[in-house]
Amino acid sequence: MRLSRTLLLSAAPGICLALLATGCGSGGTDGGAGSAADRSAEIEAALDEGGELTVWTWSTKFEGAVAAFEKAHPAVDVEIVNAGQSADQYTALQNAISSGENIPDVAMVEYFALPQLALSEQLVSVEEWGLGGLEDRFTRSSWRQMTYGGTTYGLPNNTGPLIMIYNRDVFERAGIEEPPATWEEYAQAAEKIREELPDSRIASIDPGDAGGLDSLIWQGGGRPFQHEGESVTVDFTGEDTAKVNDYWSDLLARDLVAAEPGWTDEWWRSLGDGSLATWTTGAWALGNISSTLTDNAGDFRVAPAPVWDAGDPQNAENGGSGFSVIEGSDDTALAMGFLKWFSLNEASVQEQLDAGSFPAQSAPLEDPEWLSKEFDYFGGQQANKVLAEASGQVARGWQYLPYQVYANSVFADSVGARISEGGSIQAGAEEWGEQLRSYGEEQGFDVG
Amino acid sequence: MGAVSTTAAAPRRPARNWTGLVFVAPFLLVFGCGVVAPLAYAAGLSLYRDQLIGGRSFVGLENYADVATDPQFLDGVGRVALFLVVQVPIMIGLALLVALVLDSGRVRGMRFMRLGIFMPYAVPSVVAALMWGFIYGDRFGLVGQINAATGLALPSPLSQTWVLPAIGNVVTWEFVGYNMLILYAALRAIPEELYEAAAIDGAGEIRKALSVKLPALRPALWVATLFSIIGSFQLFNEPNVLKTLAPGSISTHFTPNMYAYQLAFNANQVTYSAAVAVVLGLITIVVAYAAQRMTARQESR
Repeated sequence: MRLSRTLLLSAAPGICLALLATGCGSGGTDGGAGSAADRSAEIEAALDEGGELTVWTWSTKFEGAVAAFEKAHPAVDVEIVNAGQSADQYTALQNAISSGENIPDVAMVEYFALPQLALSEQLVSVEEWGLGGLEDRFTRSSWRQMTYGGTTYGLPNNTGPLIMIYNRDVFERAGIEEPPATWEEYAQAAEKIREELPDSRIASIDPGDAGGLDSLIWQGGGRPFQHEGESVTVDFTGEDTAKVNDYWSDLLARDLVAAEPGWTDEWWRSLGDGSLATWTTGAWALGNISSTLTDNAGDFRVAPAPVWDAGDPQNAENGGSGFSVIEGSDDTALAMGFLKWFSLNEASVQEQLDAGSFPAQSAPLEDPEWLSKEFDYFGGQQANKVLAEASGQVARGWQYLPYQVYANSVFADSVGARISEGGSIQAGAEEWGEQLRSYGEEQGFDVG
Repeated sequence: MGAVSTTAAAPRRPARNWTGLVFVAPFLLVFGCGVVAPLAYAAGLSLYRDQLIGGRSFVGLENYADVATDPQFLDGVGRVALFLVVQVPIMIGLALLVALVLDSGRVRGMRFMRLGIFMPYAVPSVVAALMWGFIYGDRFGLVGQINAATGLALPSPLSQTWVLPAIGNVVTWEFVGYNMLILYAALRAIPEELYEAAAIDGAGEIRKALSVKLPALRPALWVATLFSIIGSFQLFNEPNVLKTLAPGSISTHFTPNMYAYQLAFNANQVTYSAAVAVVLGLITIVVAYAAQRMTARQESR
């Protein structure tokens, strides 16, 4: 009771304000999606005139880039606000928009959340502001993930093509000479590790991480989520989806992988002391591991994620995000100006790369200097080459649901419960799918 | 109405004095705005339905019909009911035992013990849950260390089977001291003459505890139990914190409050969440009232 009471208390005045806001805000921008109007003069004027901008992100990788922007635009004052991580931020954003107060001008939006935010009209189309032509400055996959229903709602920023971080020492002690290139070799390596080092496992699978399993299914060729307009399909029974789920159920049943939530203190320590030998994750993780497990400098190496078919390597993305201008921003022109400069200016991108962000922009991915950078933490390895190659192999055709934030939040109820207890992940996934279909119907989608 | 009758009646009828209202007004205002209005707003909200496509529409009592048959809501209610009948008696029993021991005056370092047992209540429940989460860890936590040192294979307290008792343990640890203090205060209020009379009748410490202290503790026990019943139905912080450590064991509908939170913040269903909250409030009132009737009947016997 107490919970909802405070919630409603805070929502009540907001509703009145929201009504007012929609009342007076409906004029102005009527250049619909697709109209490639050149509004650069308007944007430039806003940048010269200056003002204040609020940018929401929970990542710490953007302070340098924002400082660079402020240096180049002395009239503009940008404040970075951490409004919570992922789902917490999206809730805060929805609350801000419906109350009409404290609406950020720009916010970081993960690719999986973009359809939901776009559908609920929280984001401003970049095409409306003439930024649609910037498409070829970003990777194909990242641009597509900023697009919903044919309209692009922001600019991509970072991506997470799958890679495998492994502990070289554990591999050596288990007699594994080369990191596994295919999932078949990975399972063999898992057996070796368990045999030689009974207290270690090749990896842990996180019962709470929907994005992790999604990316493995994506890589395996499964496409459980599809949407077009208001119709949605959720189907986990596809052959390629089941192949991935059964593979991991099998490893779990044979006690070759651990079932443990990621990012906890216990998990980091397991990774640090070699109890877990690998971490298959998005390319952004290099910065996270090197800043968290500082005592392990030199222990880890980066390899391409294992693939299903060595002859036709397919990759997928785990995480990744862009930045969007938020509906209700006080100064949309200025926000667009910031977004463009922040996303593409060389100084800004360099600051982001230095902070360990893995770019969605095409330019650095082809920059020889960036590619040949040697990482001390990874024993001098030119890790960016591995990441860039992975980025180029991301398979097409993956979609998230227009209610993926919800979908991820209930992942652990069905799939996570199976992972924890060593049950059938496929059975869990089908139950998850059932729940997502009925939710879709309740929410007014045409569920196929 | 004749002018004559009004003038004639006016002096006789005791004039209604509105001055009192002025003094009560600040309270009424705060009560109205702070308690009545939000409740009414929640109840009103629960008559609508939110959809990602279609927006908000009036659905009458449909949400309530859904709540009554919602397996996830019932699952949570069943779990906290089980929690209630197992954890609350254990906790109140422990608190009673400690209060009686302290009151007997036969232990050394009484003040230290009293403070020590009360201390966990001063720890915020989020911190307490985090702390116990570390202890429960079966790799690096205390449980893992016990297993490693003794060769035992204690099951993980955060597995699906053990997670509810594990949460019960955290809640008991947090609230034994608080309940002990309520009971101890009531014990201190028992007049000395009763003990004297009992002593003259030849009663020992145990007899005094059973025949003098326990009957005098009834009202305090009732207060402690009532708070614990409400606390059980509102169970939220402990499972919600432990969920990050055990996402596969603690579902989003583990307790009704967690379910209401999930509906409002992750499922875009604030209105349905309001219906869940209203129903949960009603269930709590009914259970608390039933518990009161039971104790009242016992007392009249």
